[in-house]
Amino acid sequence: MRVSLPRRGFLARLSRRWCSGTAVPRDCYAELDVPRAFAVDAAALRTTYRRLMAEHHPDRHTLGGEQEQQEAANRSARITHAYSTLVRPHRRAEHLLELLGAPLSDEAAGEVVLDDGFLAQVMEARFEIEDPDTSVARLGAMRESNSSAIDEVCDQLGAAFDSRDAGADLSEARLLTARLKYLQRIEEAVSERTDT
Amino acid sequence: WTVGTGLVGAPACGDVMKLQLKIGKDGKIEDAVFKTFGCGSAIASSSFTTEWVKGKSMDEASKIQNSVIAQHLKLPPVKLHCSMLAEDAVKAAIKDYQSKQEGRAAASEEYKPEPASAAAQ
Repeated sequence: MRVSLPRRGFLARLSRRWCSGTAVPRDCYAELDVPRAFAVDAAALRTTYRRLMAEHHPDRHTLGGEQEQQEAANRSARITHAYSTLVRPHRRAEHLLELLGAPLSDEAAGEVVLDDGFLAQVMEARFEIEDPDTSVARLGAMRESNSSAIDEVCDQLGAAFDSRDAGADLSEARLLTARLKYLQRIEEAVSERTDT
Repeated sequence: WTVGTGLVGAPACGDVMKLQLKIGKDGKIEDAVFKTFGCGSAIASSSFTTEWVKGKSMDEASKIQNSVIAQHLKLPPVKLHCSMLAEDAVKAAIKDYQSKQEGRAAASEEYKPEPASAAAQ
């Protein structure tokens, strides 16, 4: 329903903000017209992102009216948010769980029990990364093996999400997503210490 | 004395918290230490909790409520789960201590004393 909005003054600014829409897309896959699955074609995703940004970036709409520019800004923000979500495996997995109705943050969707062994490994790794005596070489080695662990979990996640089509529930996918988040934090911790 | 160790994680935010209780022969908590990898609220929650449990009996400590932690730290709603994690950590530490005690009791029935090193975890 189109509403006639005041053009000037306080109400005008307020109504523009109300009607400007949100920068957070509800469905990142739909936003970029990408098939909803855990596995994504990274190259195709990047190409799609660039194409959509070329079309919707505000710099391409400088001759349009204020509303058109505002809509362009919102659309590009949503596109960028969708891309940054889908391009990162841990965010992609979390988003997919949300779309499928079993977000990780929702305990009612099922308790995620990480076994003690895994948490102990995470704790040990975080201690080692934090320790100033840990050498750069050792940090590099840890980063590499963590990266392999992440790849392995991603493979398992692909299978877990796919098995849902065959009727399996999402408990395995949720557990794997939780593990992925922890492994990602390890990567970030190493990165913080080593990257300038 | 012996040590109970609680190691807990919050899957939604990727925090990991380790809380250890040093428990005296009288069953009272003589000391408590923590290590938390997570946000400031998680670290503060575990820090407050270790101070809160000192001197209490295990029974008292197990009754810790995350709302007490949250209120003391004035945690915003989005960080309430951090206080929940600290509560879980204490309970896990007590459970660990109790299972060690049970293990020791069971072992002592076999006429083979457990080496003291098992208690020093």
